[in-house]
Amino acid sequence: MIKMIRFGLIAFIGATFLGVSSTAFADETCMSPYMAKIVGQEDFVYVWTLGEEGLGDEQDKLVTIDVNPNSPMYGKVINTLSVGGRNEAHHSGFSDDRRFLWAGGLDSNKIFIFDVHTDPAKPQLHKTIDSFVKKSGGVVGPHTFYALAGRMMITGLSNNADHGGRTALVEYSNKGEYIATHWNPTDEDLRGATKSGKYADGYGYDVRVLPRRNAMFTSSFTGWTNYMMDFGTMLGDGEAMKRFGNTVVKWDLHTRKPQKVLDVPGAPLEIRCAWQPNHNYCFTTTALTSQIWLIYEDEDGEWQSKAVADIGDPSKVPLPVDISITSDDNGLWVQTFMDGKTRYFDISDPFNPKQTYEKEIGSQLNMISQSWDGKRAYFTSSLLDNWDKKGEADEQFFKSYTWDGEKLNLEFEVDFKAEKLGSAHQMRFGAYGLYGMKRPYEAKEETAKEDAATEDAASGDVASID
Amino acid sequence: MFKVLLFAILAAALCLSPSSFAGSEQPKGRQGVYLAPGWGKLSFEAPPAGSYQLPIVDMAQGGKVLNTDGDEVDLADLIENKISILSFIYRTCDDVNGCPLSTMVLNKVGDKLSDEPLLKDKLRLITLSFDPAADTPEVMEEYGESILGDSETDWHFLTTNSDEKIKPILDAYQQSVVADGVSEDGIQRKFSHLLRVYLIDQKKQVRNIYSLSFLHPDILINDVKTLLMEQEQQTKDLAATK
Repeated sequence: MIKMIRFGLIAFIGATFLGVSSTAFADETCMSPYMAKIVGQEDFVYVWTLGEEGLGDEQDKLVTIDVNPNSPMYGKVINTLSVGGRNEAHHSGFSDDRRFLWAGGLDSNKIFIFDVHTDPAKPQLHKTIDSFVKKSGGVVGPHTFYALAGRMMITGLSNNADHGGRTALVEYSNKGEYIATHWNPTDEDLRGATKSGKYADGYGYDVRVLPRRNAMFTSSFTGWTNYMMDFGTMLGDGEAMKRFGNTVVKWDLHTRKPQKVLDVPGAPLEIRCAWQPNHNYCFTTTALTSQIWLIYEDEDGEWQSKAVADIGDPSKVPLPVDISITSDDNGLWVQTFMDGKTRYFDISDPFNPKQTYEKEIGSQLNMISQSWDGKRAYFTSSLLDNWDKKGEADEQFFKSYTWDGEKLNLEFEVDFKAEKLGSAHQMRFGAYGLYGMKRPYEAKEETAKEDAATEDAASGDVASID
Repeated sequence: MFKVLLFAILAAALCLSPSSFAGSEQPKGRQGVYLAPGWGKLSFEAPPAGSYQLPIVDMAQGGKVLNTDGDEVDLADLIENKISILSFIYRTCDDVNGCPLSTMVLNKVGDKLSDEPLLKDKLRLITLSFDPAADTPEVMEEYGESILGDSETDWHFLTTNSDEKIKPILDAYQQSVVADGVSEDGIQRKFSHLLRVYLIDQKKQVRNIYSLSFLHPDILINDVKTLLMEQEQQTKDLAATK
């Protein structure tokens, strides 16, 4: 059964909290706590996909894959929606009511808002925002789309003054109207924040919140000049390699004011905050230094940062990318791009993560989305158009696995090159039940049963309908 | 008396105790359900009024609604010239972190107004049902009386004639509501909806939207004060330019 939860704090929906059977909970665990949640098996994964030159229609597109094992279309691409041209498609995020999916282009700065509620199997392009840079006052590279109540918080990666890493958070209403820009604190203008270490670089990347602590966190990557540069060229450019973020900023969520700049050197990327109601901490990983960092509230109520584990062999720069925390806060999946591996860390002691499992998923690896019960995990391959590997090593895939607690088992995969789709990037889950709809194939089965029962009754037999 | 009785019953049903609200841990009610922050003490200090800005989120919309006398009025008229807190509910909602939470928080805000004479005449509370079939004007009147008792809080309990009448208002506020079930006796409709409460300024502009995380009387009161301080400053600035 799938049902929309009536409230926003994810801490309130865990099976143990509600005393509900634990068999039916599912949702990706990296979504905003303000968002409507799926309970049960997800029906779709929407993959925001970069168009590739010389492949298919060459356009960025939203690819819909049927992932419900009960569906006759299980494992198949059931819809593609091209948006016209290539924009450096990257990340996406649902509005808090989960009726719309916002997806950004890091190069064109366009934001595409897809209607996913009218027909969840066939998203439609609802609106395109092409004034992001102008409205925001010069923010470039719309990256993370993070739902707050009735609005969308968007992180930038860059700015239009120097195309470096200094950037801001930009707030839009759910209707797609600009609300406000909140610039990241820098040495020149800390905006009231406290600089706790060496850095106040003003860079941006991801955003996550812990509403119960009135806390919001942003991480820091690099600007347009770097993320649009050829990866090999950039690695050989000493000056370019200096232009990466080294900070996580703690903000006052309600007032949107930066409060404390924490040193997290080496480009901290994705932030994942703990779900359990009294776990006041978040994790991030550093792309260049290959470490897991803990952002935590100490006994005095002060927010601190601490490197708590290495990922692989940092000297080989495995390049940690996406991470995903389990809903019980006991596990953290960490993907590394260069060796194409996923690693599972036991984080039951958040100060001492221990790697317990690893598996090579492909020649390169970036994103993961896992179900709320942790039993299903989906992976995609692409990082950035100019950073993905070249030639045969540039595998582009969507892979669906089940996790039995000890190992990942491949269920099916979609070759995005063979299907002429492009480079597979971020995934988001969809479900009919979010919108009060029945799955069409189940509705047909019910109708068939009712018809059969009617016929049986007419012939005098006793029939029961489940 | 009605009011005291209502919340005594509610507190008993939730098994709340004062100690449940201490510290930063979230309080639990009966059956281990975690209660929204609005039910207890805020686990952080509410940012001081006037220390922050509340940018304009949207223009608030009107629409034909029914008051407790059954008269048709326009929501746009009710939200004019006062700061308003607008809540969408259905009366038979039994989700402790849903409609009962918003009604309780608005009631606490109303209670605090007696200690805030400067706010009292400048704030209006509005509760609008999205279940017109069950929540008739008579039902909403009874519901309102059970909450307000003898209180003089400016609180309007509204409904509409039909689902067709409430839909455009819900759409205008992007209030997601899905009728997806019925009560055990098969009579009452049940709804899934995101809890949303809207803070609207005197110019009919939405200045904040609360879901359960920040739906707390301390936050709401400080946000209202922030809007009043902003208005006061604008008045001073205008006078200075003349």
